[in-house]
Amino acid sequence: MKRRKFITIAGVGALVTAVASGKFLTTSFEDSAESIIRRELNFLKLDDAGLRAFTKDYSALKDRNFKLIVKSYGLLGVGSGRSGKIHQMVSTYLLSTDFFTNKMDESRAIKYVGIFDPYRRPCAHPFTSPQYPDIS
Amino acid sequence: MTRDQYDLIVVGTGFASTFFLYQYLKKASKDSKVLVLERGHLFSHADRRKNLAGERTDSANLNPGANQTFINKNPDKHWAFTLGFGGSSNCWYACTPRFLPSDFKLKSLYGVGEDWPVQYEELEPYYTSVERLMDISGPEETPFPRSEKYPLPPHRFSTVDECLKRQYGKLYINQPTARASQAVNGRNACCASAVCSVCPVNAKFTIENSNLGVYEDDRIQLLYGAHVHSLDLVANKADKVNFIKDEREHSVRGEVIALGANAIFNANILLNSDDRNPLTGKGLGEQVGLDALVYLKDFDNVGGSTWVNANGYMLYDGDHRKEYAACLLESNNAPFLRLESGKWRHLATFRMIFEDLPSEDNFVAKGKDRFKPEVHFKGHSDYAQRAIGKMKERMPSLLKCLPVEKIEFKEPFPTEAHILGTTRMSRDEHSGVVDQNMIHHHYRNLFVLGGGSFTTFTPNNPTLTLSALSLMAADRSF
Repeated sequence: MKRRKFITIAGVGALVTAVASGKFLTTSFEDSAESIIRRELNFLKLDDAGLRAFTKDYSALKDRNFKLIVKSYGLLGVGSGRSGKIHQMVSTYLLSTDFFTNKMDESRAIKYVGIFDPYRRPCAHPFTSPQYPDIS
Repeated sequence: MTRDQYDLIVVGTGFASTFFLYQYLKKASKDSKVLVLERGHLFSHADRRKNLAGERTDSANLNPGANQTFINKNPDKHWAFTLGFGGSSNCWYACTPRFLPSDFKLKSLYGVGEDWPVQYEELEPYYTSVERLMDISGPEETPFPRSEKYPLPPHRFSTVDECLKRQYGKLYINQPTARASQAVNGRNACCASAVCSVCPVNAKFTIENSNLGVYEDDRIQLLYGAHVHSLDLVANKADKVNFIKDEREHSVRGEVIALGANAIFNANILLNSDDRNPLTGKGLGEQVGLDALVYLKDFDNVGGSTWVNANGYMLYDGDHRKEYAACLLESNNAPFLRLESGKWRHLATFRMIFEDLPSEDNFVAKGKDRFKPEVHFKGHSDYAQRAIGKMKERMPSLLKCLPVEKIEFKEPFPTEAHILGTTRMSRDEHSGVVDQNMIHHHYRNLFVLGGGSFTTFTPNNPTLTLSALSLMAADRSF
């Protein structure tokens, strides 16, 4: 079975289960996104207010379909290894923080600095030559 | 429209039309009259950027989305393009590798496909001109011969690129690109925002920011919202161009006519005109590409300075092309992450792009609505499919200079956003639609420009080559 098909079936299954239990309706996208990010990055120190602000800003950029799928995956426990959408969301969160400016120091608390969106904040790629002047 | 007749009528304002016009205007008399018919409208870079940042702009809805403009008979296959002034210069990623000399003679070298009626050596001066006009950034050393240096210095390698460069020399190069490596001609330097379709800092070349002076020339009258549907073809000439503007039918006579819409719509206009060449519309195609994710052990992939940062030719040319297709490797430098402690950038991603051969099973046909052609695509050739299998076998040894943990291959993309081959170039009318100067074999005052003319579909991005072909066609013909 292709990965996309599996994920679709899993998403629908999760949705049905969650709707039946009522949990799906009482959980907001922001809550779901926050809990997924905490689970994926449980070895990092995240700033609570910043994470909350990120999920709110991120939610404003995403359509209903994306949010429904992410909520479903959150309830089913699907992680970034299985879902491109989860991977994208968690990556966007990290890129929206000072984590890479601090050279990926996992011992420091990481702070949200603003949504990673090249049209709002261009030239924010954290790995290019200006950030690594000794390379090449 | 101020006249009934023009010296030249050009359909479209994308790369093919604009470079043709550029060269034509250099050679034409001062009193030449040129009409340019653009189906869409100007949706400026500034407005596109605002729109993507969440601001509403009046011009955002002036042009239809690509998928609304044709009937796709195979929904698994996508065809991507942009309508409006400047055409797909508003969505291209600005990758500008040249073809290799061998790409023009697949039949004589490898016994597959057809030879082009134009060879690399003839096109070389026009490649150089287009590279100058676009201010291409590129390296000193390339696998294709060059008569001049690139105008701008190359973008910088990442650590992964450096490793591969050391191993493969001139078969691994900084990508030649129209994403400026330093500020030039009103454009800013690329800073790898990785959303090149609309560059947030206006670093890539577009028709709008080109400063070529074409559409400012007094000899040109540019008509927006002029939707061409057919030509009047009489004996061995194209006589008139027929179009709708403001819901009214118009016809205008051209001494010379040039079609510069994309390969779907050039074909549709010709089919609506009862073009008598039976190959018109046939052989539609493009390359096939897929991503390879390479997980690295204790190796940081950092540095680099643009979206597609390098090109690898290790699987490209050679006797294998008798059996399976050439593959071009693109090293990707988007801000991708590996979500594992301590391994954030222990990852490289490459797009592997395979050439293909035209097949008559893939074609454009007239639709019920004369403005909406049908697009039929059965699939990529076995020649391309075999190459994908071979690439997967060879990839581990190819990357032996890197500490590879594992390689993950993704499914092929539904499009490479190139539309090729519906009016192929050939020596005679029995094997193609246009000659070596892009002139229709049957209608000798009609140019059919753009990627539709490609005889075969090399793995390279087509824009540089189709722009050079336009320059050459106008230079040789006027």
